[in-house]
Amino acid sequence: MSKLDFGALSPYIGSMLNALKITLFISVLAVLLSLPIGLTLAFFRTSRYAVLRIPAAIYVEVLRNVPLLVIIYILYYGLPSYGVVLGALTSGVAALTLNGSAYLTEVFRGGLTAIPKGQYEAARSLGLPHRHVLGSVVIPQLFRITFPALGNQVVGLILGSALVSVIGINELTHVSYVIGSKTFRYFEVFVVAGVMYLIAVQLVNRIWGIVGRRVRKGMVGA
Amino acid sequence: MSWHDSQLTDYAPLLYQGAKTTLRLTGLALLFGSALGIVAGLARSSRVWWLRLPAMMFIGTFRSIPILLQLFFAYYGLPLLFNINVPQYAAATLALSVYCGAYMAEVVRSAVQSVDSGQLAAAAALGLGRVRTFIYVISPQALRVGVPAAVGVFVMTLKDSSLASVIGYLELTGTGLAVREIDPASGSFTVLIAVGAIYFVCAWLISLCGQYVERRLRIPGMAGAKAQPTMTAA
Repeated sequence: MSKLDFGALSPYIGSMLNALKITLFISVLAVLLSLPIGLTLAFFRTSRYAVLRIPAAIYVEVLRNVPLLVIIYILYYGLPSYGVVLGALTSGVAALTLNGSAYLTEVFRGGLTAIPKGQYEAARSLGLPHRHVLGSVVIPQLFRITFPALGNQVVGLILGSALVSVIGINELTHVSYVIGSKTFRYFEVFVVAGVMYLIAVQLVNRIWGIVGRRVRKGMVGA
Repeated sequence: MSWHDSQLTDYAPLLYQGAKTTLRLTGLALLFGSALGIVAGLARSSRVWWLRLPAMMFIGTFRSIPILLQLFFAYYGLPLLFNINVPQYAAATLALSVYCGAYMAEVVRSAVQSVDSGQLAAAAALGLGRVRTFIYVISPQALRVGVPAAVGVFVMTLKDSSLASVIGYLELTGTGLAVREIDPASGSFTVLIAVGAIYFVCAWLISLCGQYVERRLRIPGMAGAKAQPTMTAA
């Protein structure tokens, strides 16, 4: 057994923390882009018009059943043969967004079915126009119902963002790998990176739990 | 660019080999992962703290670290520490099994917890001991509740097996990338789409089998076997 030397990493901790910031930046960007897409597609998916419902169903099923890694490769290596050249960061964030929005669509769809029909009927009978029914009655409840599941998706995107390292984006996993190959301290560097991910993910979980209790307070049936 | 049918038929045998490798890797990881997941999930649901606590830490740790990093750790980190050489398939099987096990443990835990506490009270009233309560009362119900979520973990493991290509293992994705290298200008899109389509079909077949098992296990009149949506990362 060779000797462990975590001290050998001390010159690199700064660049690892920077890489963690990039990881979080990419994840947050993907979350923010996925939310509106997922919400829209959830309404399509539950629409009574097949012309909206079927394409949304295909989008969700395809993206949930094809590995994120393959999506990244298709966007980054595949699209240029059609003359569409995306940079590494754009491809990475786009792939994460495609993936994340498909999962969010399912989360929101589940939430929509959990809102009692009486809510729509009550809102309509109060004379609210359709768009206000959505904005003031449906969507606020939808967010409360799906809040815990949204947290899981945020964590999923943080973990998924490690995959964009394969196209050379300097996020935490890629930077750790490079440091490992430079110092030959693979064991130590991956342990440190793992701890960083662990702390980031557990923080998101805790904060989400605290906010979630407030969000769901007074909710009917919570 | 045009659709290179002739090229795709040239590559088809390679992709077929790659798909077989992917399925073998996935199958092994599911086998070990499910065994690990059942043990860890039961330990997590135990009321004995020295079983529950390690299980909690195991699940919490391995579900919070990207599978790619765990794979790097298994392939580059661990062997270096013990001064051994680990082949790619062994590192990939190890990392995928542990990751799958952590997710499966959560499935097992939530399935066990879904069994109504009145059932336990009834079993106790009938004079069943703890072991018998588990075998005859909890496990038959938990099994049925857990199937949809377990299928989700199966599909996730299939998709995550694609990461083995990053450490140079020639499974389906790795084969697709290698084929792309031969003719990067014209072949990339077709080959990568074909790879994606093969994954899609495999994942779809897994879901189909899951639905079949779910239907077969269903007890007429027993409601409440509701699917719990699981988070499937990446």
